[in-house]
Amino acid sequence: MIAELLTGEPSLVVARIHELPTLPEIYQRLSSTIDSPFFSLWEIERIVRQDPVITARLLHFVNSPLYSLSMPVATVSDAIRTIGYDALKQLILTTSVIDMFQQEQQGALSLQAFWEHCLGTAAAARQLASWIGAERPEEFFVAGLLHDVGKLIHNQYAADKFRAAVALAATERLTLETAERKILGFSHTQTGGFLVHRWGLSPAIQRAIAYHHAPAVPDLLSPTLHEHIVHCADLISIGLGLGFSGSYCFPPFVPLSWEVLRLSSGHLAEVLRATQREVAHLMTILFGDYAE
Amino acid sequence: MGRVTASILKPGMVLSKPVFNDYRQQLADAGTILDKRVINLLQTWGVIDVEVQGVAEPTLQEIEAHMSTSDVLQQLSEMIDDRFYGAEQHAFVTELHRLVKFHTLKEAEHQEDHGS
Repeated sequence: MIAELLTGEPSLVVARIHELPTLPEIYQRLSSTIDSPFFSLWEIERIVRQDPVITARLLHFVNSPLYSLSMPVATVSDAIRTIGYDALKQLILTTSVIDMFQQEQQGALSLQAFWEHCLGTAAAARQLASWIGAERPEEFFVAGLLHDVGKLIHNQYAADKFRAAVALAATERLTLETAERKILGFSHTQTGGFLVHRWGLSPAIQRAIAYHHAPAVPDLLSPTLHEHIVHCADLISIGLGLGFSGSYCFPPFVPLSWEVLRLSSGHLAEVLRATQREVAHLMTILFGDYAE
Repeated sequence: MGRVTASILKPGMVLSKPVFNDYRQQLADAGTILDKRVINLLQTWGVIDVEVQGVAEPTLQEIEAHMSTSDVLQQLSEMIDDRFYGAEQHAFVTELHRLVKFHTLKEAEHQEDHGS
């Protein structure tokens, strides 16, 4: 039984879970095309058009109030030109990952509330990254979106123990991470880190997921900015009450993270405002009806 | 004197320090009495916060005192406190807590003013 494997080291567990989902082909093809030195808009458009669900969501996304366009965009190529390649990759990853787990899971977490928390973290992470002038803010969105993905793996492959961990967090008012360590022996940060490593996402994203509860001291050898930003973004999403992460206690804060970002109270206010607005739009696009 | 977020500036407030844009160009001098034109200018340039005479953003305690005046606001206040259960007292967390309550209070007042 796969669930029994989850009593050992998480690295062994993840390596042996054959059913572990892989990133959908469309994302992999799109990523390798965009990362190649030569590609054309026509090639990207052709990949996108092969998936009618993603095509519809792309057009819905680009015509949402997030982009405030004066004229509606009706074609895939115009939509890609408007949002850019990084945002397109981010949209496809978001859509794919949510759909991947949506189909298979039920259990201890409300998936819609879970994803709302993750989208809140993703939007806040991108906002924080933009304010400090970080390169490729979309990558911070992806790190935020996937920061808790290990919980879905536990929910899927160790459902009974994960349910017990959520119940323990509720009765003793713990963070879910603490409850997972008590019941499973490890936490979603480890499982999630291994999963995105297997998916081949960047080392910075892997670190952000593995260390978002305990970001490391910055040094020249390891990129730590993503983990500091996702750490703050996670708390912002919880503070704003966006969805539900499974924790019944506010997670411990690492003061170093805010020192790394060096933002003011005014910046934080702007991040909160923009995050709430973006999550409302994304939830409507991805889940239909959404009441703030 | 206090630092306030540009989005809550009102006509009549007086700047206590000059305001610059990202290119170090001065947008308004100390002593400027804000009117709609100056507020628009600051917001257009994406100014985040400014120093204003005699005005400071309300503290968490002041916001809580205001929210305790109505049952609905009190419930909202307690709901927000619950999210911060067990939170450590660090400047970032305290400011996040204050801003979430401040925005919730403003939103509730806005909805009340517009009858929705």
